[in-house]
Amino acid sequence: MSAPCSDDPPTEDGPDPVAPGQTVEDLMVQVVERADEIIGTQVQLRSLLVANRAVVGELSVPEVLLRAVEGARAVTGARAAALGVLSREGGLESMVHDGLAAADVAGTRSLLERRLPADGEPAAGAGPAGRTTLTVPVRAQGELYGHLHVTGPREQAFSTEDEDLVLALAATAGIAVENARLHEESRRRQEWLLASSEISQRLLADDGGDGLAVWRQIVGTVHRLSEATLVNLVVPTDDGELMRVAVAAGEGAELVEGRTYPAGTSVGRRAMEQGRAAVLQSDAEHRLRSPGGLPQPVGPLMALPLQGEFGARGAVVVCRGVRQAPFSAVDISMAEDFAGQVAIALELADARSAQQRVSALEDRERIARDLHDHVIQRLFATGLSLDSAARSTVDPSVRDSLRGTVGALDETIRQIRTSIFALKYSKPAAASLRATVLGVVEEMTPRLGLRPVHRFTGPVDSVADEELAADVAAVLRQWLTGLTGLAGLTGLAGHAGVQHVSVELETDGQTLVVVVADDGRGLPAGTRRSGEQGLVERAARSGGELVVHQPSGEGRRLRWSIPVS
Amino acid sequence: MVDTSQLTTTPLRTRTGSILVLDDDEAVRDGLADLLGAAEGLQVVGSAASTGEALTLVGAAEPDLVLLDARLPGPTGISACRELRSAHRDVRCLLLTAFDDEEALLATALAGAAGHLVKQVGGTAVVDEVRRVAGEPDVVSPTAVAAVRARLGLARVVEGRVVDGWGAVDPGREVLELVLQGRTDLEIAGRLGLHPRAVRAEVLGLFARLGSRRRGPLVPA
Repeated sequence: MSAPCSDDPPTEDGPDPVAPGQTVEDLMVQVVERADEIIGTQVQLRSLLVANRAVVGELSVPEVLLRAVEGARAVTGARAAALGVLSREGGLESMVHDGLAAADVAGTRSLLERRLPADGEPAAGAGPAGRTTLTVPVRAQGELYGHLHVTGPREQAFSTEDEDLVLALAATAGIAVENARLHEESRRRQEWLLASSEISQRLLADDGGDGLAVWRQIVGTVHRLSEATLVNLVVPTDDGELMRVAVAAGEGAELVEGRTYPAGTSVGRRAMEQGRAAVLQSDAEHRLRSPGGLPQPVGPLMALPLQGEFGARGAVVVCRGVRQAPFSAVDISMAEDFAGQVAIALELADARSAQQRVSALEDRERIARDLHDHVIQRLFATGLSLDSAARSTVDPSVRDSLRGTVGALDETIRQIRTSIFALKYSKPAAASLRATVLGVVEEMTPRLGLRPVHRFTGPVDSVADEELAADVAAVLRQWLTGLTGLAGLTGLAGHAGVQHVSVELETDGQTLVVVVADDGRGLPAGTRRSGEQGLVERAARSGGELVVHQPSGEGRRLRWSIPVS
Repeated sequence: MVDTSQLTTTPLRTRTGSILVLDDDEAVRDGLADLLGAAEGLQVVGSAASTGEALTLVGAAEPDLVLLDARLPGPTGISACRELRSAHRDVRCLLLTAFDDEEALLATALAGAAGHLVKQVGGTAVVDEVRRVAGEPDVVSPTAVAAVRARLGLARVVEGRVVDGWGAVDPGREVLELVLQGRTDLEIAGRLGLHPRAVRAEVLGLFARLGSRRRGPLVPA
């Protein structure tokens, strides 16, 4: 026999028979045959070593399997080799092969599906097309992982050496699979860690992160890393009776988002209550679950609590498909760790935004106080001067008139004092949100030196009442005025580099999103941003969330989302 | 009017209702001088545009009372008040404030002032209050100190640190206590082994901390 491995010397390189006599010739033939055998075995051993090296050198499971079948084919000189990986539920999870004719693939698959040999003994026998075959078990982490199968090129059966070689290769492949799995595990662990640190960073970034966008990132990450079909971030409703799918990623995400379902004994609720992952691996367990916001039957399901200081704020529900593998212990622990990290970051971000809201409030009040302090000082000074004048005048009518003015000034000071803590923005006359916004755009156009582009999506008029319209108008006016402040009086272009400003309002009936974006160079570093804080505070009063985003070198973007349902 | 209680606090001379006006705003300075000078029983013995000027005039004219603006430029009326009292322990200071609120009381107590006067021209409010304070025995307003103490009395211990009624963690507690007792910067500096300017800085820091937290929730001790 010869190995097809091109690196190895062919057997013809063996000693040449030179004896003249018949018996000697016979003897020589035997010697040569024996030598050939020895050399052949050496060649096989060498190719086994090569194959082994190739197999263990690989770090991904599919590559390991491919190298194993290539190796098995090489060391035995087989026509084809295949490796079938058994699935947990029985049947074949996957099969890799080398040299197998297309017609033989199906037959080989069904052969390898049958868990042959039952107890890991090598089985030699007739293959699908009457060829001689050899099948050996591959074990990984103490379990039967699959079978390595070779189909001979010859009529005779594989030798015991062939068997030993394939067994050796199968053992190597098993170890390599284990190794690859561990490597994969650590790689995935790193990915999860990376993802959680990215989300933490984003949550704790200076702009505080956009709430909904961060939640999207969370479910998107879990979806990507947990091999799930659908991932929902669910939060309990105020009364705790229902669970609401806040955001979702994966198949049918758009269908489940925003849906509610009875909290009952749902897996999400269970995870929140027990403070650790709740897992449903099998169909039987699924029947225990109350109907969720899931559009189709699902396979393995796990829920990860987002633990906060005062219990869980919600849970991430991870669904795999019906035919997908159950969650391994590693899957669960990684996802659990991730959820834990994210929950901590959410807590921190909450605490910080609360703090920021408080300081914004104080900052705004401080500015107002300082301003009015100054105004009061001017009025006081004027009043004192008039009072002096009144005292020195002899004409009673002039004195009375001056005293009257002093009284009016005092009254003004009093009014400022009483109104200082209840600063109110003037409301525009009742109008639809659309009309109000258009009014502000019109009003601001001459001051900006350009016309902001506006766009409305969804039923913006029906979701906003007069008060909200007034709030939106005030925020728009303040923001756009802030832009003119950047540019001075001569318009925006060429100063702040602003060529375009867009005002967009969008609603899905539940949330109104106001986005104002420009393409300028943004604020110079160190610019006081107190105006922004005022806006954030105003947004917070409407129950919304306002975020100002300024990527370096790009324009600024204000995004205000207000719950309106 | 002179009553016996005055003798315990200003034993060296009888009070005459002499007033010094300290304000960086000339119109206010002149207007106040005019207003108070016209009032019976009061006399304006000088007006100063800066703390330094006031220090000299207080030494020379020994007024019973300095009427000063709480919003003086630079380190504010609190600082000016404390500086004046460090040099002349028994001088009464009356802070002119724009608002009549907790912050005004806090400023008064921390300044070691005898009271605060809300900016208002008409009527007799200014003259009445100046007369009242000029005749009061206390150099430091008991009302303001009581208000701050009431607030601080609601202090609680959070994570081993004292948190006062404003919600502020209070590292300057020792200085604060001495300030509320009416001690001058010089006295506090001597007792704590600090420079008077360091004490003043600490007091301004306390004002900023306590002032900015005044909206914090009250938690009973």
